[in-house]
Amino acid sequence: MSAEGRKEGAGGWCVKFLIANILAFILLSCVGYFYRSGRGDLPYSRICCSAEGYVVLNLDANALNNGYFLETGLPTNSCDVLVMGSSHIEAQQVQKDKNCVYLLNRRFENQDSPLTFYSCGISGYFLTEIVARYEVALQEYGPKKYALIEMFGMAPSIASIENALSPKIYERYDWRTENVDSWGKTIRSLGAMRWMWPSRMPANVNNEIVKKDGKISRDNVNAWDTAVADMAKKLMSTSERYGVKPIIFYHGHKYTTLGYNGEFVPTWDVEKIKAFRAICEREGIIFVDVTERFRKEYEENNVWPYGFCNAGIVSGHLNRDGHRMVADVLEEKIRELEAENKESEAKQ
Amino acid sequence: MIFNSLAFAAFILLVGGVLGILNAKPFLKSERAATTARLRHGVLLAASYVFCGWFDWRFCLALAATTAVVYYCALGVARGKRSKLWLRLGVVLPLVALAVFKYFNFFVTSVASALSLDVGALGTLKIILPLGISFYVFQAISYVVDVNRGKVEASSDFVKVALYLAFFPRLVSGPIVKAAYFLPQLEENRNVGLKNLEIGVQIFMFGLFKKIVVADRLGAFVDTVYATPNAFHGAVVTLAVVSYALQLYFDFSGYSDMAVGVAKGLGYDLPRNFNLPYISRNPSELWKRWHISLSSWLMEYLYIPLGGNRKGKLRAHGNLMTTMLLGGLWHGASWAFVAWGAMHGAALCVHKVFKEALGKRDPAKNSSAVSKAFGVVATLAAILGTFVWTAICWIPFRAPTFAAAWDIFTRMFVWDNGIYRLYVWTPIYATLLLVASLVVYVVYRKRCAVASPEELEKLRKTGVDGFYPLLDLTKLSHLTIFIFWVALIRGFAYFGDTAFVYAQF
Repeated sequence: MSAEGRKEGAGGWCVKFLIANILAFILLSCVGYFYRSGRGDLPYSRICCSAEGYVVLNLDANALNNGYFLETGLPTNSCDVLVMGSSHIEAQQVQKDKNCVYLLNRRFENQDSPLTFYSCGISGYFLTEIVARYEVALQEYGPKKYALIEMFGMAPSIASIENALSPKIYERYDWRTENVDSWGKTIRSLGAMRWMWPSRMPANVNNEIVKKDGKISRDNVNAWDTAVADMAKKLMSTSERYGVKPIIFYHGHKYTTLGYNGEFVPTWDVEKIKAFRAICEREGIIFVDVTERFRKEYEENNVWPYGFCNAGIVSGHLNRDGHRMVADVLEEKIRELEAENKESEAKQ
Repeated sequence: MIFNSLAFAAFILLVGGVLGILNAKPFLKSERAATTARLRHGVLLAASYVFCGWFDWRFCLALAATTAVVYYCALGVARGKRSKLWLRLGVVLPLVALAVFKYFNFFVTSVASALSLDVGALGTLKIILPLGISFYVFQAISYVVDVNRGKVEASSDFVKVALYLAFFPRLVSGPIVKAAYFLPQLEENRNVGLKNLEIGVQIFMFGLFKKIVVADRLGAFVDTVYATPNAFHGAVVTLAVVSYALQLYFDFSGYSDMAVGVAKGLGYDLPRNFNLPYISRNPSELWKRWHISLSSWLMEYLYIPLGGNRKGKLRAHGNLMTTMLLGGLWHGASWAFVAWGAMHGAALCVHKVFKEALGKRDPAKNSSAVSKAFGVVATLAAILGTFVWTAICWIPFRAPTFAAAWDIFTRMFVWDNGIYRLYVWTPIYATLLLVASLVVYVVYRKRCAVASPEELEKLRKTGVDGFYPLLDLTKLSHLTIFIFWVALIRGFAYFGDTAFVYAQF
């Protein structure tokens, strides 16, 4: 503080400091004004700070990223295919007409029996969270044919599956809103802070699960098999009640890595994912692995499915190439299933 | 406890608070001035050892041992009796400590590798590198040498010498401060004060911005490309090489700014370590602008004692190479750093030859508009060329192995395959640096325009000189801008695994 400042006294400077804070707060609030991240009075556009930078999202009445439904004016409580997933499917990071759900809608719109795909991608919702709210989602969005369920990274742990099947840990979280703890909510309700404060999603739920789960030893492999089978059975029985076919599609996310010489290296527990797949298929759930498509596209065209120019260049969320590849694989699978359906209908 | 951590925030508040108490009236009475000064130095020394021991308490032992050696050797030199012996001891013992802690295993493995011997048979030491040893050993040597040269008096106050070596704002990564610069400050009545705080906080935030907003974000990209260079397109690898040059500058100069800011807040001055190095027009200018405290140390305590350029052209080139090779080795026990030093040494030699061949041209002969225009283009080309060479030199500095460095270098010229994803932050931050440099240049030109002939001569000698954009925090508008700026730093900060690059040296 300069000599004049010292003359004016600490009290005067404190008043100035207070006013300066308020002014800076207003300035920051101008920036933070649009950052209204609650999922209540929708539809609206929002600017938000996602992992890969600041984006503008056009969300539907359910606060979900469904550009196709907004464009066509289709009702959001009825679709043919429900796509449930995490922030990868929420797709904040890609243009609204480049995410896999939008692409699938476009690819299936001009045919004899068009299919509509409704995205229920929410940041921080992994396979077990999806299983926990599966029935609610089927009720709410009313898919008629298929439920596409995203799974990525490592296979779920026993504790997270147990929580998904008996979701006590999730009870205090409202599935239909973005969840932040009360302290974070208070802080973020202040305009400027909203903009500065990092998003606190149900990651805290996952932290609790990780703490509870610990390491999986060889001794509880059978217990894991049983837990996965229970989860698959629950998914299957719920699906049957609502007349939809569940399809789990898998991608490695951060465990899809590059070797020193540029080789494609999956670093997830491949055997465990295979075991998971086998259990799911035994229970009647279709399992689609996108890995080979990712590998092929990288090795042939040097296209990498994850990462962005403004963040991790090969890590992070699915980019538009990743979404395109996922859409390609899912399209292929659904066309195959549709053809089988037609064939069996013809036989009948 | 790194500067951009909550632990350090708590630590500096505590230290500042305690020193603030020593500003109370009862301590400022003239009859108690000496006691208060001793108390201040004691508090700062204790804080410095806590800071050092926070990483590992054993680091304090190495620091204390070096201090004791240097203290007694400097007194021995000052006494005049067997001063040469004391001088040698004062130089050799700290160097031995540095050699053992930092280079012993490197030399053992290098010898074993050269003679195809088993490393295990020769034996290596299981030791960790004490925090900041490269920096305080150089300070220790400069102190004893300066006492011998009569540039500074040997201090009989152990606390002052200990504080000179351990002063925590500069302990981890410098700047390397000369005793003649720092010890006199301990004789003055310096303490935390509002004016110092006002300046110190701003300089600190300036450094924090460089570190957590710019350097760390560039580092995320650099780390990815350097880990798997063969996966990327040549353009991406080239961008990563440029990004590393920028990252290192923002990281290290950011740290230096934070150190200067913390010291200023406590009432002490530290010399500036960087002066817009990437506007250098040649390698020689680069080393006057980059890591100034190290390059001036090498010049004063190595290059000149070796003979400098006083013993013929060939010897001067040899001295230059030796200085840069040892300067490279100072950065770490690895042949990659030696290679980096050799590359810079070679560039300095080439520049020296070029300069001698060109001779001193008469500026009056080059006053035409064409010559001036050519001069501007040539200057820009020289700046670009110096930057490109510097960025290439950073490749072995950053790459984990020589093979990796070669891969990265050759990969820059492979443009037909690899992931093509250009990181957007590099051009943004490069533009930011460019704009800042332009502002500094404009200010410099304005100062030159109104300067007297003597001042002009001085300004021409220093060249374009960077400065901290300081605000007057007694003004409401400035205070608002500052708070807004601090909030933006928080908003744009990159949070990840982000240690200071130079802390490893």
